[in-house]
Amino acid sequence: MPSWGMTVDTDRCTGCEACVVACHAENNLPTVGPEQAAMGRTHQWIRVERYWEGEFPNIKAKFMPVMCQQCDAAPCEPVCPVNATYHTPDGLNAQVYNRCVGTRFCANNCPYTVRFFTWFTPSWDSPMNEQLNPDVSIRTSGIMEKCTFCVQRIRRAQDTAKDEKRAVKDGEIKPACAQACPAKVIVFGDLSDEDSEVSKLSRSNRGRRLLEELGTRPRVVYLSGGGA
Amino acid sequence: MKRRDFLKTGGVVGTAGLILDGCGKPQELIPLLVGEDTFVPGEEGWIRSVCQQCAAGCGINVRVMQGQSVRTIDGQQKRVKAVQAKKIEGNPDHPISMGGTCARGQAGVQALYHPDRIRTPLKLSGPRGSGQYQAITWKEAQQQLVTQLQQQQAAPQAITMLTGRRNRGTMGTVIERFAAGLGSTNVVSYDPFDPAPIRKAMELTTGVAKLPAVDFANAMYLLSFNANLFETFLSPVRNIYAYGMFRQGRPGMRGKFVHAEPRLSQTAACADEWLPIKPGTEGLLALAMAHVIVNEKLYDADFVNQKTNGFAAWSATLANYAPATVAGQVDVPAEKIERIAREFAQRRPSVAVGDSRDVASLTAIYALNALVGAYGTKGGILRDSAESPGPAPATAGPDIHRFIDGAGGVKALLLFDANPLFTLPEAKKLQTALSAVPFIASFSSFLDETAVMADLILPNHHSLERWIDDVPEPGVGFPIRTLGQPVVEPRWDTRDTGDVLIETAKALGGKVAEALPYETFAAAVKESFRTVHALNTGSTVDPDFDAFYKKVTEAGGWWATPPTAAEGSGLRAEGKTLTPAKVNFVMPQAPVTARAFAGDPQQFPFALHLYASAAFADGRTAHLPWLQEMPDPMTTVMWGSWVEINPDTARKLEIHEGDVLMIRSAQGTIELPAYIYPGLRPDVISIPVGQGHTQYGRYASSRGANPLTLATSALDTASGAVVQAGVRVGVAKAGRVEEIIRFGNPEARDHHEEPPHR
Repeated sequence: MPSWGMTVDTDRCTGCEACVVACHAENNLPTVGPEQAAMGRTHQWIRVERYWEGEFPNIKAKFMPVMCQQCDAAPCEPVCPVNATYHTPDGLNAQVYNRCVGTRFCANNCPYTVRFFTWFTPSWDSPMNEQLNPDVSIRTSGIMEKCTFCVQRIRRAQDTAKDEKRAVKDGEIKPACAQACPAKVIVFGDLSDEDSEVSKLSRSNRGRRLLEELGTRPRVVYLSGGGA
Repeated sequence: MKRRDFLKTGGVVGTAGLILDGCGKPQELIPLLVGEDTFVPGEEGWIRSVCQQCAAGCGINVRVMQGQSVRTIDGQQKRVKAVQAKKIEGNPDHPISMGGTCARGQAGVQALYHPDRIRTPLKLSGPRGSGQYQAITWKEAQQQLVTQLQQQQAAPQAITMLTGRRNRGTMGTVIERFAAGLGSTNVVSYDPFDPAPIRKAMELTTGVAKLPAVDFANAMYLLSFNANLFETFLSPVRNIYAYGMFRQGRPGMRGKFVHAEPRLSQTAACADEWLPIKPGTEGLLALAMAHVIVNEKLYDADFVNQKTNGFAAWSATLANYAPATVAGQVDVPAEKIERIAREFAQRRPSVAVGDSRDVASLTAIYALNALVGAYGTKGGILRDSAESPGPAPATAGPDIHRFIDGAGGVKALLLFDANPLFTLPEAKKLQTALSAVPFIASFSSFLDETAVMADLILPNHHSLERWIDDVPEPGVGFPIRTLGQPVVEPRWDTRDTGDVLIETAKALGGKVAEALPYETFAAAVKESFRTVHALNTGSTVDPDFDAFYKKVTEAGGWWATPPTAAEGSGLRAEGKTLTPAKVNFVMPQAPVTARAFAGDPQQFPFALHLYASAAFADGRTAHLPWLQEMPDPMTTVMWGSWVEINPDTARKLEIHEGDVLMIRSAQGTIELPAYIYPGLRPDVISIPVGQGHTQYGRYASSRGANPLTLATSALDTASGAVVQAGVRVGVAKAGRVEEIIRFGNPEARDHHEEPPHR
């Protein structure tokens, strides 16, 4: 059984947000328009945080892409009264949309604020709906959604490997954000395979996990700047 | 029955997203049967093409699946099965994109399925600019075009073609030949961020008039002057790829990056050091650094002696640019200039890259590369061949200001991929000029500010619906020909502009028909690959041309060296095309000074810094909702535009975020909400270009203001391009507050921003 994980090398990141738009394209994320956006109701399964440091002229800005950290001890899971958010055997923090009754407890309990509530049934001005990815459900109003590590791509690769009677190769699965990224910031793979790229990178001394001290045991390792 | 068989029986290739279109409300059905993590994939295909969202020319890989589409057939709405484009990825084999895309590239598919695309040929039915059109058939539309052009055949110079950025590849050839065949030399091209001054500086420096291929992936030190590498500068995807390599692609090595610019741009944010120089002083700063390097004899003496011309005379002029002399003008301490110049000279391979409006500043910046021997080396500026592996871009015709001045003589105007009524600062003058032109035809896919002036619109296919080829510039130091076949069938009743021109030429007969002797545009594209086929080398080799072309089509192009999968091998500087021509130290025609910013400093206290927006560039992608809702990388603003002001300046003027400011220049006034921007010089006001459309579809129009109306533009005689001139502005509060829409929790704002006073 694989154990999926990800590394995000912030030293490579330029903050370009190709990942953000790629995620919209892959995961049927609706755009909500200016009025709803002003109320913080956009769907950004991945976002690029920008931090200012210092004052003019000694000022810097730093970028950090943040998506669901797929925590092993996910604070969102135990608070769901209907088990809509649960853990898959391969380590994903999954969401069953049709179990969700929209209590939003999970979003409230997520320290990374990566869960999004669907305030409305999404719609696309025709024929923009023709772009929708048939591998991903359209989420109706009143439920929670979030980054899935592009589970549809994981399953597609596993399916192809099974048809070809082989194991999934390291690097074969790329979530949409990782595939779009020109700087190769994001690496995805099997943490249970010691030789996978993601495994090696996750053991780097540049690595840390976001809000580790909360004991959430995130599956995303951030590689921060400085020397190699 | 297994779920997979169930789906097959259903005759559907995927799950919910698609079924949603097909049979009622599957969202209430399918997820009950299976969770999102247990899904069975349908069939997908991948077809390669060329991204047209900017001028970089990235190779892309488009995911297609079968889906259902509602079409009007014989006046009735019917559901038909159609191949649909689902997702754009980078072509992993393409030497420019290396498998990556940028945000704008990702959004290309939204232009294909945009609800406001022009769906049929249109004939103006109201006054010009009203946007009132009536649908006509292609036969009528093409007949009208032929008739109009026939009337001008006696005096063909009255026909003018107006294009946006340089049309590369076969499309460029077809437009050029069409004009030449008609007997007109009036092909006007206008791009508000025209890189022509850089091309000219490279021509003067290296003898090759091509934009520089900067191999900073392999450099140890990168010095950038105003180049917004990761937003819009020349080849952003390539630059971002190189940045990743530069930082963490080489075990044990990490490059240092210093960036000089009046504003802390997204690129500046990535730099180890940001030098907030005064606007227009990039050339001075480069010369001051050159002064240090030459004075302290830190330059690569072997390279300078053996591979350059004009060093002695050029270095003698540096005496006027000692760091102590220019430090005040540039507003960077002399010691800092000296330290960075030393670092640049000593941490080789080092490379300098710059963006500027004047050729003299640019030759100063690119001369730094000659001092450190960076021309034609790994980690430097890769040497490009003067020859093009495909159709070479046309030589420039008259500039847009000469066109405006001579518009009285223009009887017929054809618009290709250009929107100068949005992008030209002197749009009002152009509007008046266009009003006097008796016949205007546009090939635009959208009713933008310029297209609404057309009498006749012959909408082009989206780039994913047609054959397309390209010769990317800048390249990566070896020849590249990119090729794309139609990825999907045309969604609407549009036609390939190439085909329309070829057929129009045939109908007109005579010289213009001889100039375009192709059956179709597709045939012309194919024909253009004969030259690279004859080379018999590179990524695809096959003695049979048809077989060769088929393979090239599948690969998305041909390039001289086959790419390898290993990361970091994308740039092959040691390629065999490097004939070491000598590099010139270019003597400026006049001493380099700080560029002037026009306007009375009392009335207009701030220099205006306009930059191409990361999401919209010059405004051409503002019609795409994904990009409108993408938070701006630096300000996190969505769905709007803003004016940036330094926190101290704002405090003095009692300006808070959201206060609407009237920004005045000698040219005009616009109103925008203030954004307190901590990374900006106190004497500068900056505004992103891209919003402020009055047309261009439902998502772009009536959103923000177009700051180009504050600017002026003029012909730069050195490069032959129309470039923006520096202007000064004043700001005053309009007395209103407009909420800036930002991503994230409005309660949690950065410490720089004081709470609004309301």
